[in-house]
Amino acid sequence: MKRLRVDRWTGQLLVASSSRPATPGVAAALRSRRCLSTTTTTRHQSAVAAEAVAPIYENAENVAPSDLRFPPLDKTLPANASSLPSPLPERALHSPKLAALHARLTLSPKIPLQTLARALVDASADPNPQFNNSNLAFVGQTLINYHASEWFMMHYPRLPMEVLYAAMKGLGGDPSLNKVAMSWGIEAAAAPGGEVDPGLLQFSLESTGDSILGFGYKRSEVNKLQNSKWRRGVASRVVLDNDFGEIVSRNFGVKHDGEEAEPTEKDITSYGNAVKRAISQKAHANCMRAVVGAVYTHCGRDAVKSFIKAHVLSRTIDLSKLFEFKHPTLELAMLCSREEFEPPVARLLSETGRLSRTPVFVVGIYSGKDKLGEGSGASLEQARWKASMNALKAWYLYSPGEDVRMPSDMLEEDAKPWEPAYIDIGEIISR
Amino acid sequence: MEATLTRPTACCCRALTSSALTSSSSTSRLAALSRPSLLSGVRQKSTKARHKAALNIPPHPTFFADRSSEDHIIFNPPSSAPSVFHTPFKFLPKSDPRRRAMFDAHLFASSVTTKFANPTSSSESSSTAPTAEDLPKVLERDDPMAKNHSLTKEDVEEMRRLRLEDPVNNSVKSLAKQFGCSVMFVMMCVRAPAEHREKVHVLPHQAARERWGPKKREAREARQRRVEMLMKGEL
Amino acid sequence: MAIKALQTISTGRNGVGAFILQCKRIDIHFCDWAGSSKGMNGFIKSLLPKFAAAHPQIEFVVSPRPSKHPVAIGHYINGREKAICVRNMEPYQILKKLELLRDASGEKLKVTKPVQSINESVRGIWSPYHGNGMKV
Repeated sequence: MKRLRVDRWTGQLLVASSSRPATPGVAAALRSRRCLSTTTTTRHQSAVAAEAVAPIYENAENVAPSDLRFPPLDKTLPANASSLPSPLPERALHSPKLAALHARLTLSPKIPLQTLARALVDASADPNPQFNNSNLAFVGQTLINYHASEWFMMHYPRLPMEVLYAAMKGLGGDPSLNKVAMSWGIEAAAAPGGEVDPGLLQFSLESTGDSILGFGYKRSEVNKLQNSKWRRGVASRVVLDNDFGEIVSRNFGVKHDGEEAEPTEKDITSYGNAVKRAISQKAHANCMRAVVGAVYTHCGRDAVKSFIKAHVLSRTIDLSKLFEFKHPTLELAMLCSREEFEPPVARLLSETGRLSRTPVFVVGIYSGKDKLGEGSGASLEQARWKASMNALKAWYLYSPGEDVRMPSDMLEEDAKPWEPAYIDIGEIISR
Repeated sequence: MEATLTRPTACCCRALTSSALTSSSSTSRLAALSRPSLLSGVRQKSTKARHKAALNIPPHPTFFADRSSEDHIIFNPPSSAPSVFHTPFKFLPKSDPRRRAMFDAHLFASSVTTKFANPTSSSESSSTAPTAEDLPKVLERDDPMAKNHSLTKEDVEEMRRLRLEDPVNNSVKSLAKQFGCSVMFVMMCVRAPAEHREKVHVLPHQAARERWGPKKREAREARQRRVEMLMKGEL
Repeated sequence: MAIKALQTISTGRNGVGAFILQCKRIDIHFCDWAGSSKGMNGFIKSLLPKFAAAHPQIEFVVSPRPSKHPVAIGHYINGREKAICVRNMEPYQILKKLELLRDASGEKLKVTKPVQSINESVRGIWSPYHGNGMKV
């Protein structure tokens, strides 16, 4: 929920540098690329412009009558197509793959195929921000992370910050969104280029120069972090770093703790090495984010909310499996003293086979007459630990109910007045 | 209850029973098998009908409760470990509407607390709120928390001084006994000097550790890994 | 001392939230000359335009394959494909086959339990140590 800059949501959507809007129906910013200045083909990010330059395909009408029986599958490409870094936007109208993807996602007809085609061009394929998806992906990730964090905070107000970050990454991080993009049937082109079908995801495995490595605040001391843990507490990660509390770094191989991950012999499998897999994952995730950004740009707030709900928030993540404790009994005792409950005691609820090789003890943790949690284990100590862990999880996973209202519900017209949501005072022991 | 049995005693018990078994002849074991009191013993053609009839048990008494009234609720809580997503009554915030609804002890019992059948009380009386006597026995620990929570600042200072001066004689245990507090509290107050820890905890065991064979080493590692898995909730 | 977090990836279930049709492409091969393609040629002329218009989420690729039996091949999101030879079939029989390709998930055919859920059961997993047992 941090770093929401509403003024940035639309400012840099389709035209990155020029102030002229580039939505269809408006005269486009005609800006030819330097490399193409001598040729006849220009690239425009507009439907109107596409009609203006339709004669590009005049070659297709001049095919010999004998060839009409087997017309070319794709319309004849412009002469210099292969010199462009990504397909021309107007070719989007003739791509069956793109039209099928548009229909498969049941996108609104308000979203033109050109925008969808642009969402499929990664920054590593085309460095020009007017033709790649980086701006749309930025809007998309902002919206996805906003709705995900809002959902978690309203439904589980007591989640510790670390677990909240892990949950948000599990839902809106690269691995999860990569799976969403895969489930949409998005195929990747073998290599990017102007001659590729615009319905294929285009990213470069070779030169990742300009591709987006992460959205967030990049620390100045990012290269020194591997030696010291300076400024790496949760409080620092809330302000700096990306939305999942991870360091934003400059190269792909950098892991969470700042180590360089050189592709070793072991990493290289039939699917490429770890770095290449990470590049592919990131490209797919950014493409998915860009589609979300496109939905917001053309259809607005409500449409994107239901789109995110249908494709991201509907995914299942088991929050009770995200916790790792160190001293659960101590933490539970501190919780009880903080909340002024009676000190917790462990009571043996049932047991079997105490003298056998496989005993089972069921231990409950009680505070006064109330049971806080219970767990079973092969020894009394283990069962007591498990019971305290379950009690702590029961504390942290308190939920006010399924139908809590979100802050974004207030943006609707004729919304009821806001009732304050439950806010917890925070973690029991925090770093 | 056997809750107070410690490990060595358990081992003794096991040794005793095994020696008793080996000394007895095999005929006694056969006799034990064919004891008529065993319901789930060997099933013969002649006893088949009797065994099957014994398995034919009526439904749980909760299903028969309160047949007289027209509308009633069958209260049959799940026989499974409670889910962590069911917040206990104590953990609900003051503003939560469930707090009011669950104030009724009966409903409270149904949602989180598994009621363990009290052999003395009948099923009707178990629906009331549990009293302190109904609760299961408290687990005794080797190092129960100290009764004396009233140590002053001077006491703690004194404890620190003693421990740092002569860590060999003023061990954690003896200090806990002297000040009437728990071992844990002493360890929280003062940490022995590094060379003492090295001398007492590391060096004496160094040679023994190096003599360990692969089985013992693996067993140690597995135990450590098991604790890690437990803390991650994987076990 | 503080709680550490373990990382997992969320799992999606098609149809929970949004439904994505699993068939993404159908290749249709025919032959102008061979008799086994007679029905297929009629299908392409009469029924395919309407069928394709009704299913914009599927990409249709029609291509000739001279001197071969006609085939319809479905490509699925999970990367698998399903090919059906439609030689000597009537147009409406071919339509049925295309509907079969459209409705398939692309998974290998296997005998499975009717319902598989990732949701936890409401009453939990039965445990012998819990519940109000009954003395027998």
